[in-house]
Amino acid sequence: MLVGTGPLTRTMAANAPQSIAAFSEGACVQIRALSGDRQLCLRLESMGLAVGKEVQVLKNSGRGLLLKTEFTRLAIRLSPAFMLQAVYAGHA
Amino acid sequence: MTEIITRAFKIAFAGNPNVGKSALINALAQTRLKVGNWPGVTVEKKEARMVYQEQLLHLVDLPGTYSLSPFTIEEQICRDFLLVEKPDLIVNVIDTSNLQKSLYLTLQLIEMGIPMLIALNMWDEFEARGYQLDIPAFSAALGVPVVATVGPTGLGCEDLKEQMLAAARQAQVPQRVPYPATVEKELEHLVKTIQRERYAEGVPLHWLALKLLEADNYSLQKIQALHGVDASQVAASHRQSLQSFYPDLDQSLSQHRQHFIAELVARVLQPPAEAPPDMTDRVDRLLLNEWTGIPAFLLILFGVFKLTFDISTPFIDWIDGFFNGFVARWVGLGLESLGAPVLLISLLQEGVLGGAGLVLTFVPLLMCLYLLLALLEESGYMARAAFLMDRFMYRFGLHGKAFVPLLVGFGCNVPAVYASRVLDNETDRKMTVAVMSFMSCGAKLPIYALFTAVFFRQYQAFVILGLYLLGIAVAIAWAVILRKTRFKADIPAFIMELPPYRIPTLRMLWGSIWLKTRSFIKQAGTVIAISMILLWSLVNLPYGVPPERTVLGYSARVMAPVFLPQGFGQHWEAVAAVLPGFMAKEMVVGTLGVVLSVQSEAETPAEPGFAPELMAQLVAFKDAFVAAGAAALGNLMPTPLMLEDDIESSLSAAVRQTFTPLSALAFMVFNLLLLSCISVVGAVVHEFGRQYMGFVLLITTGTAYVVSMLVYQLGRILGWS
Repeated sequence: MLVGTGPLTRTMAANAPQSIAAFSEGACVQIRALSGDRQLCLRLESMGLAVGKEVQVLKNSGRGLLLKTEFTRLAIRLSPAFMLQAVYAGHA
Repeated sequence: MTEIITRAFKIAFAGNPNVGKSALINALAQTRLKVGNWPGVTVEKKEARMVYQEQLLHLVDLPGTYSLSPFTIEEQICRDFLLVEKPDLIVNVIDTSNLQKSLYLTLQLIEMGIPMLIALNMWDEFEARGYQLDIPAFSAALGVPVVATVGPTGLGCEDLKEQMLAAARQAQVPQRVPYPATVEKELEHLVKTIQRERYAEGVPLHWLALKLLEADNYSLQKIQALHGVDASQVAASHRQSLQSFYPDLDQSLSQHRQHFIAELVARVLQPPAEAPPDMTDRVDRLLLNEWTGIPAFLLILFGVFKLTFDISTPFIDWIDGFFNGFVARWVGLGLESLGAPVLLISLLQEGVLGGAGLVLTFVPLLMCLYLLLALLEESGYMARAAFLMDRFMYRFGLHGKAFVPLLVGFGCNVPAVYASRVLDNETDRKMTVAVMSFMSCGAKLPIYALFTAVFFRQYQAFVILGLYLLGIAVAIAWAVILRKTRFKADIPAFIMELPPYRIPTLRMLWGSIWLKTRSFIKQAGTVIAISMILLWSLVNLPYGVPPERTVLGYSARVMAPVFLPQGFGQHWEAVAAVLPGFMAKEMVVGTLGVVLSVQSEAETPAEPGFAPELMAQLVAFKDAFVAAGAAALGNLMPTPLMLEDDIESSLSAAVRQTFTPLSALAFMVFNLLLLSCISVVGAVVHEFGRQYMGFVLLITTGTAYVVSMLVYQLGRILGWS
């Protein structure tokens, strides 16, 4: 189920970190954890996607995500070896 | 005028990708960058030299990097250069609009203990967005001189030159950002250990200590290689004592840097009262849309494909005619008048000039392709295309960007090899080039045209389409096999920054086109030209004997049994056409004509004369421009690269006697899957070296042999002839 699609689900999901792939396009989320391959995590942090950062989900096609943080747009393909946990922070 | 140089400084330009480093160096040095490769890899090394106030400044453009914990080969190069070459100064080029992200690398560069300067590049875009930056406060907080610049216009470059020279002369090392006291204490202990054991080997002590604390794989491996010591044990106790404070030490150190950056940016950056609309977001809504994204992508790629071949075809024809018609003819006449032997004249005309002509015929094709690819890359679209295609390509173990070289491969495999440079990762490039070889290039079309016209006239289009689809299917199969075998350990992660859309400058585009084309002429061109001389020897020696007694004819008779399972080994003439096909597929039909003794009439000018013919060549050159313009604007379908206009009926008859429909199909499949030409060999050697070329040659030749054999044998089982 996609969160961020209704007020109730938004409230319920507000404090529960989940995979960023669960958020719908347009949702603003806050990164809570980067897990998996250490090199990939470091790479993402250096590209501006660090824990605590607010990110907008521009595109979500399941595995492929387009995220925007400040003026940086990042295209990411998630895998079991690499996950991004986030919480809902609003809608653009 | 001779300039007096009193001192030389090596200055490294480092920064994230797409921040305009190259454009800034071009603006500073007022010259095009000199391009080579970094030792041992195919990553471009760009550098320039300039004299300023009697000082020689050697500017080195380091590959774009996000951090100094290497993730890609480019990042490794950047880090190694800073550690080993020890430049006198680092110019950290920053995209000012993306200050917070850029500063992560800045902090790491400061930790290297090398004098530094920050160029706040793309300052015009930053101001246009309504942002303000307190530059003195920013500079003071980092302890580094700061200059605002705009690479393409040269704004701030004079100030930057002055500041660069001053900073390099003063050699003042910036103060690094301190970590929490507990971390600093452990770092101090670690520094002492490194000093005592002499692990540093010229590397900044504090930096190495920090890397060991972060358990940085790269540093651990270096120490292991140099000293045979497991350095992770050296840092283990220090990491352990910090575990109680920071359970995830790496992330805590990273977060510490991020907090410092966030606080600094909040202090010095003044955002506009109202955020201006972002043009990139608006364009992306169309180009990355679920419904319009893929059609727009296909339309753009169709445009690239069409323009590349349509614009270049008239120039290719002109160069071909100029070398093989005009130059070869007049060189021949000149040598004849000097009494040179016929053999020498033939060698020079067909071997040397033919080879040089062949190399140069690729130049318009490559220049068009490079221009269009540079437009896509510099405008920011290439990254989006990769994102769009990644979902599809990933299933076969390929990167999204691999789509570009694969598509170009349908036109010509040579530019496709170079188009693979759009891929960042060398492993992805190698894999893409290996499977790209199965894309049927334009030079193979005359073979299909001849054989389908003779044997499959009613189903000509379907057979040709089927051949193209077979090539794609084999490429996909090999992609899956290679990803599960040779490139198993390197399943690529897809993390890519999509830069904002920008209009590239003509200077930037020209610089990119010229540097790559020059490199092709120098390196791949040599291989191609030598191979053409070799081919001439095969076809013509011993000189003056019938085709079956030449080296080619003899070799074909010896090789013929090898092709019996494919059905065309019964006739040495068919095999004789295959052998030059290894050199160039354009030669297959022509060689068939020669060995099957089909006569064609050579054209001779009605009024021979140097001046009229030269004038005709100049007019033809002008016509090529007109034709290129008309072709680019007029047709909707790409012009195929067919060197022969029509197929002679006598050749058709001879082919019908030599092949059966089934052996003709096997012959076409064999040529479809075989490496296109010696030019591709030259390009792959140039890009990946001889060893990898050997591998590509092996899989393409092996696949061509096996699949064409299966086609023939299955056809026989099904009762076809």
